[in-house]
Amino acid sequence: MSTERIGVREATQQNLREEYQEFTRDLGWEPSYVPRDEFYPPEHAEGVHFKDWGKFDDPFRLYFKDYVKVQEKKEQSLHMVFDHAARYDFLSRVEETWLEGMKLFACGQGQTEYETFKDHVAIARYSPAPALRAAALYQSIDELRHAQNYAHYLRYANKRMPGFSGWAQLFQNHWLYQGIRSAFEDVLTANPFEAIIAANVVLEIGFTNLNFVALPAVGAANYEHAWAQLQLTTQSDETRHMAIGQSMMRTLLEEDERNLPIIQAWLDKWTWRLYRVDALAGSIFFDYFAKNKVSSYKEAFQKYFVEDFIGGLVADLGPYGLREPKYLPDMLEDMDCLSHIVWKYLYQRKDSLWFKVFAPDDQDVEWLKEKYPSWQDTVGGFWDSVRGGEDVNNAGLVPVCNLCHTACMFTDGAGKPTLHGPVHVDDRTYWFCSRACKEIFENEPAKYQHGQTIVDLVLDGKVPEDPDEFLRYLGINDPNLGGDLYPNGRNGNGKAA
Amino acid sequence: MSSSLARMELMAGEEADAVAEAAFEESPGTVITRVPGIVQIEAEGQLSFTCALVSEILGRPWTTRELQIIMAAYVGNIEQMDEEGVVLSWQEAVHPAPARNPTNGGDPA
Repeated sequence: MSTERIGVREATQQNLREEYQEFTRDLGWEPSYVPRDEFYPPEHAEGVHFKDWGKFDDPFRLYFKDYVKVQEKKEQSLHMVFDHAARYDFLSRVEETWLEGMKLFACGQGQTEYETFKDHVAIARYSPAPALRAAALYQSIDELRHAQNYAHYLRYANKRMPGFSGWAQLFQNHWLYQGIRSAFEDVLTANPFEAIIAANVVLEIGFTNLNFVALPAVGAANYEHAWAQLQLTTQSDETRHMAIGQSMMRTLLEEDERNLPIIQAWLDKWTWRLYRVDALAGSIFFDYFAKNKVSSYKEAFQKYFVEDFIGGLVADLGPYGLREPKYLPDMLEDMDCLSHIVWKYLYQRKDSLWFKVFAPDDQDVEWLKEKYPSWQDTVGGFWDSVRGGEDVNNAGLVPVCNLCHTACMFTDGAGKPTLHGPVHVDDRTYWFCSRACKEIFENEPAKYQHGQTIVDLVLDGKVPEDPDEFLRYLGINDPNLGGDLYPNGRNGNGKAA
Repeated sequence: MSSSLARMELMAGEEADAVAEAAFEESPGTVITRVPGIVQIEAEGQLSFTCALVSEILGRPWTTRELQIIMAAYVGNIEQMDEEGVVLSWQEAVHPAPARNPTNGGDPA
């Protein structure tokens, strides 16, 4: 620390840079007891080229002392909202359809935050860039804060109604969460740079604005203010993570042209992997759980993913040769039917869920047809059958994708479910829900070939086949959970008849 | 599909209003949109404001550390984020010109 700076505390850009350097990057040290290659194994960088890791910087220039102060204020303001919400019983005013969605969202969210916490502990340990190690350490603490706050939300909601407990078992075992769990475990087993592209770039820049900015607006319109604030405070940390990801991706592309194909492959893979996650974590909340609708998933996806992420960030990196993600056309083609297929699938399996689902009412149908002109062709007939009193339940086993672990429910242009494959590796045969999942598997068979889907587990006898035992395995212990929210239909106000 | 709007989405409240006002003063083309819980501040190419002006509007000292508490999302490259202020930009002039891409005739995207 230079002597003339001591005592001169006026805020200047120079001061901030120096303090950041001192408290973050200067804390990087070289191990003396093992060679550097053992400390930061080069295979962890998986072919990424970089001459001087010391050059990489965190755009927010955050260091620990400051970080703690900022986070403390965030926590205080969040918990004031929670206290207020509990004191005045905000949950009693939340739209009942939205509250069912919260059971799905909140039980999974804390777990994914916890997985991301583990990712960043690994990045903080194995990244060869000192600034990235510091930023990843702060991010790991951020993710743990988020995980704990979702646990707090579950506790808050669980006092009022069932469906918010048993989240650890649900995330581990329930068929609905296996796609999400597999994507986050895939990040955890990736090298630090792939993990940064997957988590900080694709997940946080590409998808979180959909779920943490656009979706809280929908939540607020359905009177869930405590959850909306929880999403926004979470996202205020993510802006920092985005800046790290954006800066890292640009730096890698700028540094060496041999990095381009590696980054492009990660971008292609992770946009698709996380798009599949968002089918369950995002799409149905905009289009179905919301009684008071704000925007359709298609509109929000267009704004945040297509315009901001692809049209902004990816296009900005175009001069380095970065192209739009390979499977973007598949996503855009899928967009007209995505949430409708997922919602129908859930309705057919409502007796093995821990939240309730429901048939769209007249007002919903009118809105859905306006936002998705092909809605009637996609699922209109199905909901007509439901209204006609037909039993549409389908509890049987369906093929599950060997890459993304989501049921193969998605359809082709003619509305027929599609299976892609087969792919043979050693003595096993694999099937996929999409061409993208098939290609991602084929690019890294060694990583994915040992994965077992829930169907494999049932067929191997590792998961009980008996319907009651199967429900208990999933984490459904209460017969009142799941099913139709309006078993006797709805009246003109959209409330239970 | 290329977009050049720089945008910030802030949790609605006193501070978000002050930032919006400061950004608007800096560049009158700035568009301010309100959705439930959020103030969205958007400008073509570049969005910027100084902490001094936000402080003046609020009537108390204010720094970008406080911005971190309310900033829910942004779009653009963070060119500056320090005690002087914030510059969020897609403008190429602000960062060093990248190497041209030989595969598309050297045209930057």
